[in-house]
Amino acid sequence: MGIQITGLDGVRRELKAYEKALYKNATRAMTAVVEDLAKAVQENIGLTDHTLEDLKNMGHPYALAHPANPHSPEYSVHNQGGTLKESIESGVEIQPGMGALGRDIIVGYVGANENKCRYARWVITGSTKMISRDFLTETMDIERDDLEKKFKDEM
Amino acid sequence: MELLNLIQEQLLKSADITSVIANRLYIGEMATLKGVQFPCINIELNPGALIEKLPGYAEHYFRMWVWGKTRDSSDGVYGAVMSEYHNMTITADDLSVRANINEVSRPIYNYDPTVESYFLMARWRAFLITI
Repeated sequence: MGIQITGLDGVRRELKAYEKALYKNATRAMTAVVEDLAKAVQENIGLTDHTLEDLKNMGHPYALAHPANPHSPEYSVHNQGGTLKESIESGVEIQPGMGALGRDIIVGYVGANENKCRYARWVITGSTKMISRDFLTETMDIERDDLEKKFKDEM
Repeated sequence: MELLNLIQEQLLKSADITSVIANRLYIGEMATLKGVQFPCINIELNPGALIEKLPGYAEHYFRMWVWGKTRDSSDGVYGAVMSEYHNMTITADDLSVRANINEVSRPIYNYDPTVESYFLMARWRAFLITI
């Protein structure tokens, strides 16, 4: 005499299908968020209001001698030759087993490829001669609320 | 007391830190400072990153640069900062402010040939409570 419970296979199939749909939606949402962030970063490193000659005439405003950043937000960067802009790369990838309980995680990234722009690190960290303009994390800070909302909406 | 003054005051209480940098913990971006001696630490608030939560309570982001003659030297000092202050609450000696501070971005390393020093820059967050 006993009780037989059936339907476990069906529940497992449902959960698996749900998990698959969740990853698909999350990947789509992350892709949308990363695209927005990459666009915002590109805007913040795309100033064209001062040429190199202008900056020289202004006394090199990012340098030690005249640390008077002429822009707001302060981490904005001028686009001169386009090298830094062209180095910005973004994408979404699934990292298998890297999450809690060995689950896959979805990672979105926006960054500067240093093989394409060797001075990107200097712009971010600054130096003894140049103020730091961390255009990546500062942009993320400013955009964070909008990005979180976008992610939720897309999900 | 301002947040950066609070951090300066409290970090300089660590023997592991001061044994290397003495009292050379500067407030401001390195490129704006004069008469700096190395090894040292400098700290600066992130521009525009103050988030007012409630009256007397605010969230700040700040950056910390640790400079040393070798990468191991700057790493060692930063290791002391991490072990003693990451996720810790610090309180001003005059009890006027209190802050919980924590690292939010792992360090980025660089080398400045002008001063022949290695340095790292890390990003921290502070939840500041004015008492």
